[in-house]
Formats: sequence, structure tokens, C-alpha cells
Amino acid sequence: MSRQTIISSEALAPLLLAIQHHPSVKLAGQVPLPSGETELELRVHVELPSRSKQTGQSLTGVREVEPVWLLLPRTFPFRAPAAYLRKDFCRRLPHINPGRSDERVKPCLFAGDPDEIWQQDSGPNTYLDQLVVWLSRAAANRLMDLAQGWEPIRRDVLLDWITCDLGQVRGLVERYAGAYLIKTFFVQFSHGNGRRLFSALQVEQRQKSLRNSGRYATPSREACGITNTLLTWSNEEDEGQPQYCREYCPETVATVSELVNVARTYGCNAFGLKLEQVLDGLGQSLSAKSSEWFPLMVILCARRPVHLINETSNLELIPYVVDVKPGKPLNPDWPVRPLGHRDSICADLLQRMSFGRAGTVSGTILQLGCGSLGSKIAMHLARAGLGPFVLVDNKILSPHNMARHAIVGNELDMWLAKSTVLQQAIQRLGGQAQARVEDIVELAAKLPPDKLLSHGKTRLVIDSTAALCVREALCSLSPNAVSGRLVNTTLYADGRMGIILTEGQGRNPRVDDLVVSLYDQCIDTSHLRAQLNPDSNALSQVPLGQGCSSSTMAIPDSRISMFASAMAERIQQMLAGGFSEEGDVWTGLVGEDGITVSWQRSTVGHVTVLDVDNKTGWTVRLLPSAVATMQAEAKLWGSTETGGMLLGRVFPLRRCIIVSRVLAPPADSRRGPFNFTLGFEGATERINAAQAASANTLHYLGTWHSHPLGGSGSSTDYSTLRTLTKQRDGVPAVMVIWTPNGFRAMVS
Amino acid sequence: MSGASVRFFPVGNGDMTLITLWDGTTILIDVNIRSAADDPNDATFDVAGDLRKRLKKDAQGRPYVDVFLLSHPDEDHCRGLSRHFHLAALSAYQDKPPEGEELKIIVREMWSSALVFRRASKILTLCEDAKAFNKEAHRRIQLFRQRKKLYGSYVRSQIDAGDRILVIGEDENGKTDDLSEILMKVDERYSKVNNEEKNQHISMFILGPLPKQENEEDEDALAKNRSSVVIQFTIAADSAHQDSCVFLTAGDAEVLVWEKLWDKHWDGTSVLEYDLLQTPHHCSWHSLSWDSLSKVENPRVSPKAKSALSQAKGGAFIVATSKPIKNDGNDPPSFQAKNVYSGIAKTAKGEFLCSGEYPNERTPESLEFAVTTEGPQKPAQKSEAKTAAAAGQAITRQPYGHG
Repeated sequence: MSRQTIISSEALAPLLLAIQHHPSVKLAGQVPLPSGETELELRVHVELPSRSKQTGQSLTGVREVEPVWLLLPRTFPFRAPAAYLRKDFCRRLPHINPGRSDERVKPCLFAGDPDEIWQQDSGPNTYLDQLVVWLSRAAANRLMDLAQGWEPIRRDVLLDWITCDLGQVRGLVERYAGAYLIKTFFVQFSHGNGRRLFSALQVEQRQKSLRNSGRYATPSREACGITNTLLTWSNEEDEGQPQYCREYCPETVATVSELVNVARTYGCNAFGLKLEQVLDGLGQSLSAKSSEWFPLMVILCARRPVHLINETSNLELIPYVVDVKPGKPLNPDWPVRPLGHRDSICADLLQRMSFGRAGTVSGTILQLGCGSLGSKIAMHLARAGLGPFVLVDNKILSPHNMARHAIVGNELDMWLAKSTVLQQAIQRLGGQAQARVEDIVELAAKLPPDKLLSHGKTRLVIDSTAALCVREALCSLSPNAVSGRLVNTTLYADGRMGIILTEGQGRNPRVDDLVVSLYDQCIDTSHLRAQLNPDSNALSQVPLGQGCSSSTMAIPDSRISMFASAMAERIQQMLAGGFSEEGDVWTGLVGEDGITVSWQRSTVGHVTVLDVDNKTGWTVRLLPSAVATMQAEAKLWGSTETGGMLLGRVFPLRRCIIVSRVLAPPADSRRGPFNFTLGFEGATERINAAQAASANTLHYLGTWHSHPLGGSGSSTDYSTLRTLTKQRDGVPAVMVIWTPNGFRAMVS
Repeated sequence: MSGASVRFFPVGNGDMTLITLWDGTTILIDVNIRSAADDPNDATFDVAGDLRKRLKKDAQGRPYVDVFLLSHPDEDHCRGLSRHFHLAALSAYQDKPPEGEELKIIVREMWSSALVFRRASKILTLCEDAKAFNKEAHRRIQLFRQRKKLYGSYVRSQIDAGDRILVIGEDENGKTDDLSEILMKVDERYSKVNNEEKNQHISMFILGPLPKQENEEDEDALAKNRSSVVIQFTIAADSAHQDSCVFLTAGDAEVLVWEKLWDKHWDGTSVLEYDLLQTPHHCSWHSLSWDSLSKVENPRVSPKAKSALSQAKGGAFIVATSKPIKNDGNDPPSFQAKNVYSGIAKTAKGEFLCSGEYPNERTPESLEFAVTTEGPQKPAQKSEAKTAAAAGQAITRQPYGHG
């Protein structure tokens, strides 16, 4: 025994002090064990219910003074002691960990991790207090609070597991006592000191006759194969009276005969036969090598008088594994072990882990672009149990994608479409996903895809392509053609900036309005300008193989994740809280320290959409900020005409002009009751300065002026517009006219 | 941990007891919320805060008790009532309390002694809180009478929570004759709480107030002496165990009351039995004896009163709801009375406790007995460190992280 395995007196002191001062606990003995552990024997005073005081023992057999042993592990005080009660302590109580009947009873004292609780200031006191409270509740049979529900048998400390969807298994239980055989996949392997078993039920596959695959060894696992799970249950009622199992059976099952006894207590009855007969039949018909133990699972179903804690069903499923020798008659001494249960991966489980509760319905999410950003956002949402998803991307996964794509693929995944790889990953999470290996532009140009979807109406369209052509194709669609809200997520400047654009209700503002609004913000915000400057956004050629390179931004995976996580959070907020009427622009910037990301939101209200007067097929969209300036200026000059210069962006392929900002007229402009003449003095400088300040994303569009008396463009206005276009070398120019009844526009 | 319980709040010499049924229904008996207890800068235990923590809220977020029972209108049984409780029609409820105040607690059903019909007099003086209680009781009785005129019979079920009232004991001047539907008569057993049948949860056997006695010389003085409501509650731990905890409570009932109760029930003592007794009048000597402790040389305990108070079941708890009890000549709480009760508890292999001394005199906390299938159970004794924290000595805790 090495020196460091002995627990020092310094390490013991706080616990001994707590015991010494505790009103209900006395130290009766302290024994260092050869293993390096130390055992403390305590006498704990238990407050008995009044009517049990005369006998000195409660109805559950708890005594006024109980012996308790604390086993201090060699890793003490970094790990908490384990508490043990006498061997004959009542095991028919909840919150007792499974154990054999010849072992000391292990109470389950804490809902949390005792090792962590132990590290707190008052760790030893908290531990002793909880021990005393636990015993006093055990004395009054109050360890279970039926108002909260039935406390299922503890299954926390086991080595063997079964995964299944409880709802699905409960769905197999019928009114009359019976049984069901379920095909079950299993893996056996070594872990730490013990051999472990993991099994998964395939409930949809009822075994018509008993079949098994035998076992086969795999490189990483000791053995795996297909076996059977016998689910068996009791009658729901007897002569009209519901039959409940109110008894809390101790988890001491270690042999076939003990399992059979427990099944009898629960009233389980398989095929009108005794459980041992059924198990015998199952074991004998197995075709595996008879020299080896072979696992057979048994799930006993107990009908409880109330629903289980945190569940709506009163059916408690209690799983075991029986090791049988295939082909041999059943031996009552064959070993049986209780199995822990884990829910199989499903949206419910993921939502419980993510939000603390299940029940969020997100609606269908259409993910356009399954590259590094899109795949990360989609995986964040899928891990939160959201979806279903329709994933669109026809690009293939190739080795260089492993630097940043959310999915780590093996050699078989390479050269599949990114959408297909992402679909498989989401399906492994129990989520619904459809992959569409299609050209995104082609699909975007012909939305809505709802009639092609199997998951109902789309609630959200996420464009993570960062492709101008996709954005343009989406902007070309009428509001009715896009089902659900459109959100655009893009990274800029080598991943130092990210944006989330969310369209408004009825696609107003639209994503192009939001982009222009973002560009316009650069004029007043220098750090935005620096990031959106084309020089900061140059794509570089990264070599991917011999004679092969990609035009992309070199960004580490971690930096993409800094933004993808926030984008997914924002999307979850919207899915849970609903969408606002207005649109918004979120900009996130990485600080100089390289790790601080600060996000800012600006909202964009209703955009004024004008079909131009002169039938050129152009549309002019006025952002609310530009509208407000023109209205204020027109009001200021009253019956006198006024005007100024317009800044924004032309989207020539869609014949669309978006006005984001109004610049004041030059000083030599002339205002009169019937005309407004724009001056020249300093106009060019003013326009160039604004254009440069927008990081050259916006340009001069034309002019506006007011018609206080109303009316459309005059012949003078048209001739001015023609002159303007000529000056602009044919780039279309816009003229906006404010009238008391609204705006009008002309485009040359 | 939910479940049925009886909780005594530490309110000095005074009563404040919360019965919670296993379905969460609450019956509050008396309050004594001293202004020091409401003062965040005063170390006195914040009983109102502790009470509010344990109350449910209705759909509008308003805290409520299903029943408030006033044993009798002395100040140490109703202090703080108007400050913390809503004593008017629900339509007048303030959803947004003034700055610094909390939402008032709604009383779904009031239980009042028939003494509410007595006029105030020189002896029967009422404090402001008692007046407020009386006013609200009269409003509810008036509403019942109006409804009775309109609908005739089955009126009780047509009165909403917040307007309900039950009157305990009959008034000798006939003022309760038309109230039979909302009357709880002496020597009868009831199990409706807030107009709901709760016989799976609780039953109440009404032992007092005592009816008018012959030869009462000063009627008012005696009326006060015998006016306390005396109830034997039988509380269920769950639907399968109805007789789990028998709790006897009697406000300030004095020796005369206990003698009369013994005369009446000596041959059928089950109605006086208890697993849990709240000593009458904060462990006052005058609940046990006619003799003055200071004026009589060998003051004698009334054998009848003692018999009436000695029907303890095995292991019973006797709780004095009072200040810490010292051998200092004070009364209440009386050291001599404590000795008598301790003797009764010892005979039953039970225990005597004082609410002002739990868990210690310095920092008393509320004392909750869990109602178990085997009778009431005292809380497990925890380490002193927790109590030190309650006295303002901070215990630090590190936050748990996630990795």
C-alpha cells in the first residue's frame, strides 16, 4: 500500500468536526481498510413519527438510532463518501440503489452529484443533513411524494443499459396480461473494471418467431449481435377493478428465480405461461454457440397507482438482462442483472436537454446552403430537437471541407452532396430531414417548394449560401412565393463580422432592402465600413490539391462557430417567440482581442414601394429613413418646392432601385413656388464622400423634389432626368417626387 | 417536499398555524405578524415571508389561503391581518400594490366564531385588525343573506370563493338562526373546506366555543373567556390513511372551557384525543387552574381540565406557541404549566416543544410537523451551520459550471 492512498487526518478533519457538532449524528468507529479506503461508522438519531415512538421502530422498519457506514474512497476528499445502511434495512423504498440482498443497502441521497456537493463550504454538513433527512423520510415512508408522481426504481449506478422510446414500448402494452417479443441489437464490451452491455430496441420489428443472429466479434467491441427482448405485463383490471402494483419492489434481482418472483409481484403474465417457461423456451431455441453466455432482455411492466414523476403514464418499465446458455434448459441460478434505461435519441430528449422541457414545435426549416456556416446552424437547431428540415445544396463534400464543415465524414461520406451528409447526421439525431441535391439558384428561383415538401408548410427559409446570385433569385420572387420568413446569414471580413438579416412581414422589408440598409449604416459607423470594405473581403485561392484550388476565405472553424452559434440562438428565439412585423439587421463584430463578439440590432420598418410612372418596368423602394427625411424637408418648406440628392443602390438585373439616404441639396440650389433647381456647388464632393463612406457599396441614384400642390413629373422633370442619365454614362437615374398624397418616381 | 403538514410559526406569545392538506389545500389559523417581523432590518423571523412562500397563487397570480380561521379576536391572534390580507370583495383587489408592499393574500373562505355577532363593549374591546375581520365577516354574512332571499336554499354553493364564510357555534340571541347552511355547530363533525368535500383529507370535530353558561354574572367577561374556537382536526396523510394526525387547537380557551369539555366527554374521550396539541393560551397557567400563581400559596391544577388535556395518543407532541419558557414567574408562558404538559407528554412517550425555542431561542424558525401515516413527525435535526446562516452569518457557495 503506497503512502498517498492513506487518507490523511487533515483531509478527515472537516468531516469529523461536522460529525462532532451534528445534533443527530455520533461517531461510533473509524477503520482504515487495507484497500486504502477508510470506513466511518455512525449512529444516526432518526425522528420517528409519533405513533411509532413506543416501539422505537417505524412501520418501514427504521429505528430510532440507525447505524450508517461512510466509506471514504482513496480519492477522498476529492470524492464524497458512499453511505451504506445495514443489510436488513427495508429495501422496499424508493431512492435505494440496486444491490444484492446480501449486501449493505445503498441509499440514493442526492439528486445531484455528491462529489460536487462535497466540495462546497458546508459540504460535510450538507451531506450529513441530507442523510438525516433521508432516514427520517424513510421512517415515515415519505421518500416518495405521490402528489408529484411515482418514483421509478433507481437505475443510476448500473453498468448495463437499454435504449428505447418509452412511449413506443408502452404502446405495445395491452389491457389483458400478455407479452411481446422485440428485436434487439446489442453490444458487449469492456469498460474500466467491468464488462458492459448496451442494447437498443427496434420496436417496429416484432419478432414473429424467435430469431437471433448469433454473436460476432468486431474490432472495437467485444461482441455484438441481435437478440430478443421479452416485454410482459399484467391485466389492467380484474372484475372491473383496476389492478395496480402499489408495492415498491427492492432491486435485488441477481438470478433467474429472483426475477421470476419479482415478475409475479407485478402480475406480469406472458402468453398465459410462467415467466420461467417462456425464458426456457426462448433460451432453448437460440441458435448461438451454447458454450457462451448469450443475453436475453426482459422488460417487466408494473401498473402504478399514479403517473410516474415527470411523465403522464403510470406504466413503469423495469428492464433486466438474463444471461442464458443457448440450447440449454433454463437454470434458476443463471445470472440476471438490472438494466438502466436511456431514452433513444429523439426530438423530445434533445429539447429536454436544450430547454429543460419538450414541446417546442418549430415548423419546417428550409436550409439553403449546407456549407460550413449552414451546416453548423442546421446542426445547432437539430440538436435542439427542432425541425423538420429540408436541406438544399448540390455541392459535394470533399476533404478540404473537413476544416470547417459541421459533419466529420469518413471516406464513404466524401463525394456525397453536402445536403445528403447533413441529412444523415440530422437523421442520426432522430430528426426529420430531406436532402435536395439541387442547384440552389434554380430552386430559389422557383420557390415555393411547399408542394414538394413532405413536412408541411415552411416556417423559416435560411439562406446561408453567401451567394449574391441566390440572394438575387430570392429577391425576384413575389411575397406569396416565399412561404415562411426569410433569414439571411452571412460572414464577412475573414469571419470577423457576421450578419443576420430577417425580412419583415409580407417580405417588407425584403432582404435586399436590409442589405442596402446595412450598407447605409457604414456611412455613420467607421468600424462597419472597415469590415465591409471590398479590400477586407477579398476571396483568396486556397490550394486543395495538385492543380486544384478553391476561391474562398481562409477562416478557422472556431471563428465560424463564434457566429454560427449566435445565429442559431437568434433563430431559436424567433422560432419560439414568433416573428415581429418589421425586419431587422443584426451585425456582430469580433473585437480587437479576437474573442469578444458584440452584436447590435437595428430594425427596418415598412419600405415604400413605387412602380415608376414612365412604364420602364423599374421598381423604386424607399427605405423608411429616406422617406422620413424627404417628408420633413417638404414640410419645412411648405408651399415652396424643395429637393435634394438620393443615395442607394441599383440592382439592374432585376430593374430595382433602393433609396437609402437623402443628401442635402447644394448651396446654389434654388427653391420656388413652382420649381426647384438643384445646384452644382460641392455636389460632387458631397456624393463622393458619402459613396466612399459606404465602403463604395452605395452610389448616387438621382434626385428628389417636392410638388406641394401635387401632380406628377413635368416635362422639365423628364428633360432633367434625361440629362442626368447622360451625365451618368447610361446608368439608370431615378427622380422621386414628393406630393401631399404620396411619392411618385420616374426612372430613365 | 409536499404532503400534509401542520406548521407553527414563531410569533412570540401568539398563534399562527398553517394546516396543509395532502392535495395542497391550506387552512390558516390565526396570525400574529408583528411589525418587527415585517421589517427587513430587524432580525425577528419574517413570518409573513415564510407564510407567503408556502401559499399557492390563483390563475391571476394572487396568493390565497383556502380558509382563514380566527379562533377569537384577541390582538395576538389577528395582528397584521389587514396589512397582509385582502379583507373586502375581490372586485376591490389591488393587482398592483403600492411600492414596497406585496400582493395581499386572498381568504377564499372565512371561518369565524359566532362571537362576531357580539357588540363591542368595555370588556370586549377590539383592536383594528379584529375590527377589520369583523367588518369583512359581516359583509360575507350579509351577502349570504341577500342570496338566501333570492334563491331560497342551497345558497352556500352559489357563493364564490372570496365571499364564503362559515360561522362556528350558535349565537344565543338567535342571530345565527337563519344561517344554518353556513353554520358549524358544536359537537358536530364537518369535512367541507372552501365548499369542497374533503373527507379524504380532513375532518373537523367542533368542541367550542362553549354555549352560554347558566349563572354567568358578567356575561361579556365570561364570553371572552369561553369564546375561543376549539377544534379537533383529523388530518389524512393520503387517501388511504384518513386518521393520520389528530390535531387539537383551542386558541386561548381557559380552565372553565376544559372543565366543561371534560364534563361533557369524560365517557367518550376520543373527541379530546390528539397526536398534536397546541397548548391553549400560549402555555398559560389559567388554562389548567383557577388559582393565581402569585396570590395562592399552593396553586392547584384543575383535575378535570388536566384530564381533558391529557388525552394524548402514544408519542404525541405538545407544542407551546409562545416565547421561550423560563422559570421567571411570567404567565403566559408559564413554567409551571410547561411542567404539567411535559408530564402529560412523558406519560405518552411523547415530547413537549416550544415554538419560540425551535430550533433554538436565538433564531427561531417555523416548526413543521409532517403528517405521516403513523402520526405527525418532527423535522430531522440538522447541523447548526444552517441556523447560523439564518442569523445572517453567510455561508458561501461556489456556482456549479457546465463542461
